[in-house]
Amino acid sequence: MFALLGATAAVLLARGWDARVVDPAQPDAQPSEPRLVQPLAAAPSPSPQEPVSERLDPSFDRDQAMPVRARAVASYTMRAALDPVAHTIVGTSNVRWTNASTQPVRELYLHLYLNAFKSERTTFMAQRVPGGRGTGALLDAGHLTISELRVPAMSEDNLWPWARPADPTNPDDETDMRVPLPAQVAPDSEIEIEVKWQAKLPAIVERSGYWGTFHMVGQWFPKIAKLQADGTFAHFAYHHLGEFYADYGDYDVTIEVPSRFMVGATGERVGDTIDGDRRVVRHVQRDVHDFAFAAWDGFEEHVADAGGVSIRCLVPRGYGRAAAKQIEAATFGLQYFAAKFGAYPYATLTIVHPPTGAEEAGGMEYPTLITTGGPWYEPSWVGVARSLTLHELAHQYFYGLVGTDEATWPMLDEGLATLAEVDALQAGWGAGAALRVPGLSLSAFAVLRGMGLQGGQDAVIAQPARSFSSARTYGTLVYARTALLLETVGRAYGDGIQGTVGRYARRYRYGHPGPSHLLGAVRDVLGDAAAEALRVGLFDRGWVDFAISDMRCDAERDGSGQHRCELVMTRRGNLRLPVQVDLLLEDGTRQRITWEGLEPQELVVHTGRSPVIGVIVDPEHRIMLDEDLANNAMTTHSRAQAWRVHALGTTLAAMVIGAIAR
Amino acid sequence: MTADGTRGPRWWTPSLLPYVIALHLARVGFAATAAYPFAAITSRTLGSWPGGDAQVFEPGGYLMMEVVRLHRAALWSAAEQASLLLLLALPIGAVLEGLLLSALTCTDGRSFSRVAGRVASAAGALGVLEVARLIVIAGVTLTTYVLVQGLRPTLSEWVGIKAADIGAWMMAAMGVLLVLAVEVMYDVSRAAAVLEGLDTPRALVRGFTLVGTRLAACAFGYGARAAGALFVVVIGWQLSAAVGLATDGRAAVTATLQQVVLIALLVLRVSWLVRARELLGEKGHCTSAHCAP
Repeated sequence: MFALLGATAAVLLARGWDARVVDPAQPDAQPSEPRLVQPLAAAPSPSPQEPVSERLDPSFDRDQAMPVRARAVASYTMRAALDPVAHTIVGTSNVRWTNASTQPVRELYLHLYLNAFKSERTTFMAQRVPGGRGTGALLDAGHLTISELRVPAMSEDNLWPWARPADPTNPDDETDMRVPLPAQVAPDSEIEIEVKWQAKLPAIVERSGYWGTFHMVGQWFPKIAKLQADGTFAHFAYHHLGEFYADYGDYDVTIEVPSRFMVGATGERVGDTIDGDRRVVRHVQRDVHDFAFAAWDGFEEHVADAGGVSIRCLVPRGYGRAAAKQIEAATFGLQYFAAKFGAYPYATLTIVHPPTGAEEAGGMEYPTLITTGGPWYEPSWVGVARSLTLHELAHQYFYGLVGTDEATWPMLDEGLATLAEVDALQAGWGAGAALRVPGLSLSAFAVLRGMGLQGGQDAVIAQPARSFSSARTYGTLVYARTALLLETVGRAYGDGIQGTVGRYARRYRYGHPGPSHLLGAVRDVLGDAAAEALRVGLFDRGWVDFAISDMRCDAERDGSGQHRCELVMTRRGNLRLPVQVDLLLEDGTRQRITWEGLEPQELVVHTGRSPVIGVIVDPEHRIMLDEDLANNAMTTHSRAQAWRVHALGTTLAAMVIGAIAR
Repeated sequence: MTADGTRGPRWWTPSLLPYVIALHLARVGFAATAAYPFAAITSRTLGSWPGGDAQVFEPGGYLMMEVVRLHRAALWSAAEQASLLLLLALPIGAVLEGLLLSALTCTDGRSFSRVAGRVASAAGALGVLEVARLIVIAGVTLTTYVLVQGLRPTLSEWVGIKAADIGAWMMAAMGVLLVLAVEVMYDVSRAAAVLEGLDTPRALVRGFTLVGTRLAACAFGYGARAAGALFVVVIGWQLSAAVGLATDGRAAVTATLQQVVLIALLVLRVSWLVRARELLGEKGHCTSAHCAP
C-alpha cells in the first residue's frame, strides 16, 4: 500500500513538473516570454467589504499576466555579527527607501519587533491572550536598540534621539517607533538611511530567539513600516497574535557566525567563507519584504532540486527521515502551487527544522525560508510533517508574493495558505493525506471541517489579529474556517475555488491586496452571489445548516398511478448558498434538483409514478460549512443500525478485555 | 505433558469446551455491551443516509469525522462507560479463567461442581493475586513512564535527540517485557492456587520458583503465543481491510473474519494455560489428591 502511495506521489510530482513549464490553463500552449506588467500600488478600496471595481478577466489565469518584479520600495544592505554566547547581533543597515505614495512624507515609522520581549509591560507581553505560542514565561528578555539613524542626504545628525514610541497609550512599547525627518521626501523620491543597531535575542519565544546554541533570527532588524498609497504608514505595535506587513525590496545581507555554525537564510547564498574562527555568509534576494536566518552548530544539511528551485533542508543531526519527508512535500508543493498560483520566482527554498525545545521557532514563514518541526521518526502513514511543510510553503504565495497585511487581515494569509495546503494534500496524498492505516483513512478536508466548525461563529473572521480574544478562536476562524468558507463558496458556485484564488494570486502578485480584492476575484470568477456569500462569511459570522425537515408521499386519488411527494427543505443561518438535493425513488433511480437556498424554508413537490423513499441534501458534500450533516438525509424506511461499527467495536473491545481481564 | 508422563487435557478436549465457550461468550458479551453506545450514536447520525454506517469507513473519513465532531461528548462518555465495564469484566474474567484452569485437571474431577468447588476454595488467593497483578502492572507502567520522562531530557543533552528517543523506546520496551513477565508469573501462580490448592504466598513462591527454574520454557511458552496473537491480529486486520465494508456481503465476511480472530486469540490463550499446567508438573495431573473424588 505504501508503495502505491509512493507511486501516486511520483505521478503527481511528474504532473507538477509538467505544470511548471506548461501553462495549466492552456496545456497545449507553448511557454512564451513573460510580459512586463507593473505590480499594483494597491489603492485602498472604499470598504474592505466591497469588491474592487476593477474586473479580473481570464487573462489573469496565466503566468504571463503576472508582474516580473516587485517595486523595490525598501531595500536593505545589512551586515550582522552573531555572538551565540551572549545571543546578540551587532549590525548595520543601509536602507534605500522610496516614497512610493502620492504624498510627501515627513516622518518614518520603524518596527523594532524584538522589543516586544524587552519587558512584561510591552503590548505583546501585557496583552497576551490565552493559547498559542508566546504565552510562556519570558525566560530571557530580548531587545533591539538603535544607536544611530542618519539620512545623509538631509542631515549629518543622528535622528534617533528624536524617535518616540508611536503608540501613546503604552510608552513601554518600543516595537513601533516614529522618527521625524528633517526634510520631506517627495513622492517617488528615494533616500538612503544608515542605521547602527544591536539586537539581543530572547530565549526562544514566538518565532524568534535562542535555545542552547540554536538561534532563530526573525524580526531582528530595524524595519521601515509599509507605506500606503495615501502617504500614511501601516504601523502597529507587535501583538501576541499579530504578524507583519512591509514593502518589497532587495536584500543583501552578510552574516558572521562562529565557523562551526551552519546558516540558513532568506535568498541565495552568494558567499560562504571561513575566516579564522568565524564564518561569513552573504545572502541576496530581490522582491521580498523580510529577511530571516537560523544559525546552529547542530544542523545537518540535505539538498534537492525541484524543477530549478534549489531546496536546502537544515535539520537536527539524525533527522534524515524528517528531512526526506519535508523535501518530498516541498518538491511537490513547489510544482503544484506554481501551477495553481503562478511560477515560484525565487531560485531557492530553505527549510529549517528547529530542535526539540525550540518548537516555538517552528511552523513559520519568511520569504524563501520556512521553519517546520516534528519528530524525526514520524511514520509514513501520518501526515503532520508534510502538512506543516505545505502550509508554510503556501505562505510563499499568501503573504509572500501577494504581500498582504498580516496584522490587519490575517485571514488573507493564514486562510488562503490553509486552503492551498489542504488542496495540495488532497491532490498529492488523496483520501489518506492526514492518516492512512489499512481499512481507515482520513483526508485533509475531513480534518479541516472538524477544525473549522468548532466554535466557528465565535467572532468575525475578517478582523485584525489583535482583536481576537483567544488563540483558539483565532486559529479556528482565521486558518480553518476561512479555508472552509472559500472551499464552500467555490464548490457551491463552481467547480472549486482554486481557479479564483489562482487569478487573485497572479493579478495581485507584489500588489498588497486586501479583502476587497479577494471579493472582487470571487465576483469575477464565480459571480455576485458567490462574492456576497464570501462577504457574509468573512464579515458577518456567516453560517449555514441545511436540513430536510419533513417528507410525505401520497398516491394520487385520480387513479393515474402517480404519487405526490412533498419535501420541506430548510436552510438555517445567514449564508445563502445553492445546494443540490437528491431524491431517491422507490424504483431505485435518483433525481437531482438544485435548491437556490434563498429562503429559510421551501416546499418541494415531486410527482411521479415512483414515490420518493429518501432525500439527501448536498450528496457531494459541496457545502463544507454545513453545520450538521446528520439532518441532511431522510428516509421512509426505518433507521439503519450501525452494525458494522458495532461489529468492529465489539472485536476491539473483546481484544482489550482478553488482554486485561484474565 | 506432565512430569510423570501423563498428559493432561488439551485445549481441544471436549470437556473443556463449555468453559472455553463461556469465556468467549462472556468476552464478546461484555465487548458488545461496551461497543453498543458507539454504534447507537453512529446510527442516529447516519442512519438516514443511504449508505448507513458504511460511510464511516469510506476513504477520507468525511462522515466518520462528522460523527466524532457532532457527538464528541457522548463518545467520550461511552468510552468512560466502556472502561467501567472493563473493571466489571476483571473479576468475571478471573472467575471464568479460574474455572478453565480448574477444568484442566484430572478427568475424575471434572464435573462442574468439583471444578467450581476448586475455584471457590481458591477464591481468596485468586482475588489477592488479581489485585497484586494489577498493582504491580500499574507500578511498572508508572515507573517506566517516570523514567522515560525524567531521563529523556538529560539523555537528549548527552547523546542527542534521536539517540535519546531510541533510549526512551528501549526503556518502554523493557517496561512491556516486565509486564509480560508479571503476566506469566500471575498465570502460573494462579494455576498453582487452583490446581494445587495453595494459598496466596505459597502460590506466589511456586510461581517464582517455576519461572526461575524453567525460565526458557516459560518465556518460550508465553512469548510464542503472544507473538502468535500479534500475528493473528495483524493478519486479521489486513484481511478485514482488504475485504472492506463496501457491500453488506463484504461487511459480513469482515465481521466473520473478526470473530475468527477473536476465537484464534482465545485458543492461544487456552493453549498457554494448558502449557502452564504442564509446567507445574505432576501436582497438576490426574492423580493429584486434590482431584480425588
